[in-house]
Amino acid sequence: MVQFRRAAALLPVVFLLATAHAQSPASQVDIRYDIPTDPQFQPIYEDLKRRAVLERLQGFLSPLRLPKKLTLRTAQCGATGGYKSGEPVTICYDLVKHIIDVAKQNTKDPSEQSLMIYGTFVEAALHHTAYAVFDLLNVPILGRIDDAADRLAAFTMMQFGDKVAYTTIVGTATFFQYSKQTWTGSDFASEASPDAQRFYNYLCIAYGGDPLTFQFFAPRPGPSMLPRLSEKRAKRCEGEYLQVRHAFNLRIMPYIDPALLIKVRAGQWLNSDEIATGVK
Amino acid sequence: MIAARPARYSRLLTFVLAIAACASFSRAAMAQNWQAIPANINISFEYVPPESPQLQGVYQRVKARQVLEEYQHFLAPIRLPHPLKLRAAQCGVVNAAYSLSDRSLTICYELVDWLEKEAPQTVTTDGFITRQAAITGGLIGVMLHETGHMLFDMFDVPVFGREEDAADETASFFALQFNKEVELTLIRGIVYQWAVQKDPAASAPMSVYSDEHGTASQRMYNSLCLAYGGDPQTFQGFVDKGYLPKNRAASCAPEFALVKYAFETTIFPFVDADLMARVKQTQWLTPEEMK
Repeated sequence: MVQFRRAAALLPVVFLLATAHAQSPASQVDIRYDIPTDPQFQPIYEDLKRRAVLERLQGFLSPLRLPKKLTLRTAQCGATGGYKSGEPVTICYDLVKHIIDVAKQNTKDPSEQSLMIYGTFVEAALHHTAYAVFDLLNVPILGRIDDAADRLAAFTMMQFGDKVAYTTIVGTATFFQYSKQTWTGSDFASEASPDAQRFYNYLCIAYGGDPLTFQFFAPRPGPSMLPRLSEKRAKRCEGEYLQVRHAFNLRIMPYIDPALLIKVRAGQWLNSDEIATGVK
Repeated sequence: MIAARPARYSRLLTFVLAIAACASFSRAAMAQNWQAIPANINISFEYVPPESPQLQGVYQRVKARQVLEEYQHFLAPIRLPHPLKLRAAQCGVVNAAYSLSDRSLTICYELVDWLEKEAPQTVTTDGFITRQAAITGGLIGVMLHETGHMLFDMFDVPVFGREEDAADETASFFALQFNKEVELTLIRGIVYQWAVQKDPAASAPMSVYSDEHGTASQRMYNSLCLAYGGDPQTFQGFVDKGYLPKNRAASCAPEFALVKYAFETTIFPFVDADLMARVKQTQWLTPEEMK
């Protein structure tokens, strides 16, 4: 963690939630916070609502010209959530709790906890929303849709400046590192990839898109807080990033309002307390 | 590029000689079939003689089987915007690769050697995969995988997912465009080459997952899933036997539909439909190779 704190210390800090969604025009995205029945999720529900996470996502997605309305909701679902055609994108309180649990079980450092929780929450929201975007815009998908959703999420994280990229990519990667998921036998039949593979996929898109900010992912001998990319993989990362950018420009960009996109990119999408202290 | 494996050079099996003899017999019978399809004029080919004496036999068999000539005809419907070179060569590793720098697709003799050595002597104990399917399907599966990389490059195909998985999808999707016997031979061969390789151990460090390729099992299940999703009747046996878990099998039809749609929108516009229909009806494999 020391390494990324040092790098991030160079970054100016101010994330103002109010600035972000006050500037956001109305979008084709509806939002809804479902009230949980299980009391253990009540604080999560209240916190997400208080932080206006869905309002922010709604504003963030406002440049997207979707052919029909999309609903984003938070809900208690007994699973990790996701998207099915014709249904809302659901971010489950269960998943948020799991993210918080993994963060708290693996580090006592509040800034690292914060990084994992907020970074991974953004990852989950973008990952699930990517499914909806692929579906609603009839985007052709080659290379397993769950990984495609990850790559689009990672690419999106990289478009809003170093602070957002840093918090979301490093937060997500740290979560995947700590999730300590073990796969054997028919686990590999899953249509999703193991967290360890997802970890390297996020690292690769980040390093490929901005090798300077993410130089601490580069292969190098010596200790590091996060495992680094292998030499072999690192050489491919620029190509991987450009491949996603090409696909995005060809298949999604035509549905984006360029003027609104500039406003969204100029906005500030994370609160100051959603960034780890070191990053500030 | 397929996952590199250590090169293995041991004595060729006598069985391979018998197969070569059968192949050359049936090649005469089949030659008219594939030669009736015009060669793709944008594709050239080259068999590079190996330096290693151990690979001479493989080289001779691949050349005698006219693997590259046949593939040049097989790819006839694709309107390539650039020249493509097919090459068979000694590479020093068990591999096959499409090279962006010179737009060449290379099949390594070491790969053919490896497929021949890993194939069951006659048939797997469950009776599902024959030696011929393991060798023929395995080799064609790799060629189709590399063809996927070639198509993504030549046509600037938007690939949102991992390219190596997309190339695997290409192999399985193309394998399903022919009759049942060919489908079965190709998918069995593709599946077998992953089935004989090991996944990372549960105790392995995280770094084993850093590769751009999926694990052997992931690639096996992905191939089986597309096969089952595209032709559930033909591949039901793989689900019944538990080779494809039922919970994954349930999502295979939509997975296949997704890949089919991607091909229809990104690659088929560059394919001559009439010629493709003729290619689909052509017998590309000998009866011996489909046993």
